[in-house]
Amino acid sequence: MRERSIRAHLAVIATALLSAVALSMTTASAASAFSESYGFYEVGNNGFVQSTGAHTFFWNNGAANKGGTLACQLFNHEGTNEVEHGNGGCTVFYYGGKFVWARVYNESGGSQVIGGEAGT
Amino acid sequence: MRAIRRFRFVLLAAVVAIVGASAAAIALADTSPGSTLEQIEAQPGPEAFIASYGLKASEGKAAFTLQNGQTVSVIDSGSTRCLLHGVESKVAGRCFTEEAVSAGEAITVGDECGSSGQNRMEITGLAPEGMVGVRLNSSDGTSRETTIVDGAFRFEGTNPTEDGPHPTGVEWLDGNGATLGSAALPVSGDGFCLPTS
Repeated sequence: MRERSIRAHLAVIATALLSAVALSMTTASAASAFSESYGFYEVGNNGFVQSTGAHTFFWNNGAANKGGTLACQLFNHEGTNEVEHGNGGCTVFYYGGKFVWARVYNESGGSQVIGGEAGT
Repeated sequence: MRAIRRFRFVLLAAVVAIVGASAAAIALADTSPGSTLEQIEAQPGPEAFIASYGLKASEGKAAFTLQNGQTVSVIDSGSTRCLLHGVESKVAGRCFTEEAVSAGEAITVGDECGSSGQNRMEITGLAPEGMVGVRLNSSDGTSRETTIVDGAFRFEGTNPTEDGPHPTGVEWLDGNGATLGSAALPVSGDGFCLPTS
């Protein structure tokens, strides 16, 4: 009877430890990575979609449903302005560590659905 | 008797596994990633475009390092070639058919337009198979050439000034320096630096 009780306690302790490890790993992962998808609606030529907020974005992917020329941008109003132009899609990096906004420009010459995903 | 049945079962399971794996490999090879919009919806993260082709950034073969510190590497999977840019542990890039490479779709132009930077500009891309060099033409009639490394090329400089000359396109050069094709850049004229307001 006593042996069974000890086993039960050990099982509870083991479960608690595993849960704590799993929770800490999840929390650490969430703290180190943030990403935001934005846009995904139709814009005209030279129009853009933009992230809902500024963040310490490291990368920004831009895409379109039809293709053509796109430009990905990470910028702020303190002098940061990184741009990459590509065909059908684009990715720009910024590694200055400041808060920046993310944009994708439609430079295809016509209207299309464009979207972006930016992450830290 | 039981051993024979077990052997038959194992054999059947092995055949099913091999057939299944082959079918999966064929399906992966024939993957049609669709539009780039579908690609980033399906595969979050900077590697989205590469992952949509069933490829991994770690498969890239290093070609060169740009002055801004970014590494440029290439994946050649036979029917598709990918141009990758990497910074620290993050790698992004896109994959193209040979037809798209010849049309210049694998060219990217990076602009550091802000006042806080060094106004660097990088033109990188994949060149068609068999080419040896690439010529970059400018709006003022001048040009410069570079060699191709592992199928990729680069031109580095600074952003065009507002009224100054700007790059207009590239020509694909063979071993004799002859032009075998040309392609436009994915940006023109006044589009190099984008507004921040």
